[in-house]
Amino acid sequence: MVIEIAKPRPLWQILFSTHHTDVALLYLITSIVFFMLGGALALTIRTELLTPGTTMIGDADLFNRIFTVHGTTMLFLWILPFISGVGNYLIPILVKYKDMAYPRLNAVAYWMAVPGAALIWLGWSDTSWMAYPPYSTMRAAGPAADMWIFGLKILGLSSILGAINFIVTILKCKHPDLPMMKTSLLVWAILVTSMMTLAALPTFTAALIMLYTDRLGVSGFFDPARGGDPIAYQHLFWFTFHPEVYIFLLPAVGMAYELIPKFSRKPIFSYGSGVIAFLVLSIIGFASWAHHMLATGLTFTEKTVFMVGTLAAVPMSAMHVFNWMATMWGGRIKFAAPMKFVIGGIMLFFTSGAGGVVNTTLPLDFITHDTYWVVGHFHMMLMGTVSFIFMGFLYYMFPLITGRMYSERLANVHFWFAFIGTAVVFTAMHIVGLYGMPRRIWDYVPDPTIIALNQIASIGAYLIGIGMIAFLIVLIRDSIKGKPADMRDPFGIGEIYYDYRRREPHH
Amino acid sequence: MGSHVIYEWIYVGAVVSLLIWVGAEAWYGEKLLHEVPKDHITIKVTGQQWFWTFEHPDGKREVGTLHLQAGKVYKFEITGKDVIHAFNIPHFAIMIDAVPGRVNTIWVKIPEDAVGEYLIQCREYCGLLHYNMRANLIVEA
Amino acid sequence: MRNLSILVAAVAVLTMFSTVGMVYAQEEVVDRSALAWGLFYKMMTAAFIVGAIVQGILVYIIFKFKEKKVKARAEVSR
Repeated sequence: MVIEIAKPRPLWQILFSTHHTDVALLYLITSIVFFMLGGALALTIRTELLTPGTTMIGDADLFNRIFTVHGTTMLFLWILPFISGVGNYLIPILVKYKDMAYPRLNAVAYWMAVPGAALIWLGWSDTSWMAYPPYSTMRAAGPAADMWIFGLKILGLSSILGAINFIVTILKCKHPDLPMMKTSLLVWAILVTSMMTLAALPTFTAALIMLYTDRLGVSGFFDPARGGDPIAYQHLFWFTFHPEVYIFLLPAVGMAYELIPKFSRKPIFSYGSGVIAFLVLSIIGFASWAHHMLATGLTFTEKTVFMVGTLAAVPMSAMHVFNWMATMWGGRIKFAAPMKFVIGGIMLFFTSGAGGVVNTTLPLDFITHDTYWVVGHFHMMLMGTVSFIFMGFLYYMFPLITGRMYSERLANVHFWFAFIGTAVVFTAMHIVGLYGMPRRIWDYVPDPTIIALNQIASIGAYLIGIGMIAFLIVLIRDSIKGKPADMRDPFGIGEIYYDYRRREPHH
Repeated sequence: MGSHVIYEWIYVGAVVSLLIWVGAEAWYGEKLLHEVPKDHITIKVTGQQWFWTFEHPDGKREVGTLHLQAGKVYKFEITGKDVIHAFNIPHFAIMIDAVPGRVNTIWVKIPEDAVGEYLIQCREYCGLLHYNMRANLIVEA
Repeated sequence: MRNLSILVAAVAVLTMFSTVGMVYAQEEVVDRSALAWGLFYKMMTAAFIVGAIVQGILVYIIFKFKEKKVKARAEVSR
């Protein structure tokens, strides 16, 4: 759906629409708004850590609330809605169907995310996004923690509804003349992640109910005094959220597969191995959850099993990287903003992947677990890879959404600031973690090395911040007065673009 | 293009070999650290919001400071009183959670030349003063 | 190329067997921190070597196959 800001449609027409492009637009705008808000919180955190002692935030309580909301926002209100937004826009186009399979359910899934987001942002919980009991059940202040639990519950249900819709759309509504093995790999990515969502999320949903009844005091699932076990929650939690890592990652991988062949002007090196890697990872992804819990006192056997499970997932990601590089090899690559972000994402993907392998080697856990090393590692993945490819893909979809072209020069500014900033901040975090700085702390030991590394990290964060301002300017200014795009081939790469003629909602 | 796919499988083979090596190294290291040596002194460690309590085998208790002797092997029995903490001495690579209702153990041989003062800290988020849940480790000759 | 990967696999398997043997032979009390950091440096060496290769190839691709360097040819489209 092209939004003509010059001749706007009434707002209510978009808000109450069930057309896939309208729902997608709502998802995308919501996710970008929360990306910016979460980013603002991240900058607040980095400013506080600029010097030891109080820098900006007066007390630890507020700091704890800020990093909790930052984490929850970035994962559930930026990455997941963005995936839903892109999926809603493109899946019906890529499988050649008029809409999603269940348009009303689609709108319902979006509108469930809104109260979920409101509960998280109005509550300001201090549980951390993992909400480990007994802290979250016995000590965390209500009603913030209760609101967090309900917010996540609603967002979880919304994800499940979205996943069902994607699976049915892809498997049942695909055009009969389009075999599954001829669809885009983005379709495969969304299909696989939707199935993983259905398999993984119910566990966390159950854990949230148990957490809530524990908070009410009517049960003691996680309370050792009443025969429960706090570690049980961690198993339930990570059984959902390790696969969830791949749910965040695989759509980005799918988007990279969508962009790289087009901007390299070459077909994908090996479509089959991409599909195999998706499918195998969707199963192996469930075999490594307890590597997040190696310090909780697992037995030697358990640790070994989960280390093997973790390492087993690595070749699949390596296959994707090989596939991308082999696709680019011998091509004629056009470095427009989408391609820049994808290549930047691949570079940082290797860094975070190698960091992950180093992380999982068991004795290193004593050094890295729960330090800034881990923070650097997963941010390198979620910001450096997932968000980078998402932002690149947003640039690619920009003409489709707005009918206009973004400013390549500003996008370039955005890319370089974001790329250098990301590399600096998260590398510095890796190193400061090796010096033993724990995560989630408001104040740190005033050791000169630790102070210096924190300041380097903060400078990196400000660079990202500058890049994001450029991003916002591009998004707002160019969707209002960017120059009209050539809708058949907006990037001048001689490749077919998406079908943009879905102007009239049919409901 | 089809014949070139063989390179991908060779590459995957190389990656898998590398990972097997990584796994073997890690397993070997962990195995070495797993078995507690026979002659050890047991220290009971309790974490609670927001300080550490240590109990020596002779019943002597210390709060916020731990005195150990260089050259001896210590086994820590760690538990939490209220919420989950993590007992961490960065200098000696000691790190394990202090979980209410469970006792986790970890051991270390303090080297002969390690006399000095070291930081003990909490590494699992445990609430308001988590950032300041520190203690002193004093290694005596 | 293929021989190389077989060689690497063989070395990996041999390392595994030898480590299993060493584990059951050891008696001395190990220095925990030295072991962990030793492993860390070993892993980082491997990671940086592999990283240099992968990132090197990627940078090579970026410079070698950029639009300006490659002559226009028949557009390939799927």
